[in-house]
Amino acid sequence: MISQSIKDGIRDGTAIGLSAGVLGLMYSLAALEVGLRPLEIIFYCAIVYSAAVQFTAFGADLNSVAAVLTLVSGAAFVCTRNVLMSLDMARHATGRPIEIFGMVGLVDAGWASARGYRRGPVWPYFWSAVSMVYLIWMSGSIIGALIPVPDHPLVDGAFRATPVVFFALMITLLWRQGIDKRPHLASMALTVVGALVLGLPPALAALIGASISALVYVFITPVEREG
Amino acid sequence: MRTEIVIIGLILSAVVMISRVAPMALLGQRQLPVRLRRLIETLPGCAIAGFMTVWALPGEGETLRSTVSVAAGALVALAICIPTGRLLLAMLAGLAVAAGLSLLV
Repeated sequence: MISQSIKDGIRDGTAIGLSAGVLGLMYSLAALEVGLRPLEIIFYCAIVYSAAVQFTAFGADLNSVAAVLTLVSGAAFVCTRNVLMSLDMARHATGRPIEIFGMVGLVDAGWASARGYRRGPVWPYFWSAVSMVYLIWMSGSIIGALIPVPDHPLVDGAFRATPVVFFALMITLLWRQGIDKRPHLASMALTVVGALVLGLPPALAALIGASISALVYVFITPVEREG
Repeated sequence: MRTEIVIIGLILSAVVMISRVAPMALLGQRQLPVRLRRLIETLPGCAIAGFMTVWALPGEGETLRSTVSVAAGALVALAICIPTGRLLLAMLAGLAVAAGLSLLV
């Protein structure tokens, strides 16, 4: 059962990791454009390992403590997803320290695929999947940082779309597991309303939109359908 | 490597790792009320959807029109991945459409 979970994790992690590799490649190209050096890009990808946070750090003014605190609070805001995913993974906890340590590899892709895994133990599946995602993410990042890509409007267009397309695929992973789409669609709509109509900071709009959508969904869903 | 980059990288890494590990460490094996558990299961997907939308919204000095290519790329990726589950193909097709449209819009 465990070896089956590991095999499944490597297979699914490779499939997801290939898109994470493209994301890493695009991150590196974008980072080169904003002036980071190749070794710095690889360092960021290796130790931060969060494309959303790394994209957030672009163009940040780091000349004062206030600016650094602004960057850190922005990163913490973006990381609220991680908190929620970690809480969800806690459902599978059996108390082993390695489960807690293994959460350093928790990314959207790993969580979304482990969310619906039923064929065997979750933890071997999760660890093997996130290991593959990390390896391929790093490969993409290193390739992007070291191989020069010509400056072209097509590449710029692809940079701009990369985080959105990648997150869209993470949502797709959930939908393919049969998870109800309605709270996700409501969250998207409320984020647009919050940011564009009410003028809230976009990340705050996303957080409020997600919270309202999830709360309403949970409280209007009959208890007998839960589980 | 520049020192400030290393320091910022370590700080961001700490923020990310704490957000990943701490909730699991604090809540692992706890029995939760059904509604709260259901909320915890539902919220991450909603947060991913919300943050995806944030990335698709126009930034400073941009108009909604300038984000059409991004939205179209994401829709193409969804249209491929939902029925087939082919992540890489969907990602490449989505990026290609977004890149191509960014020249036209």
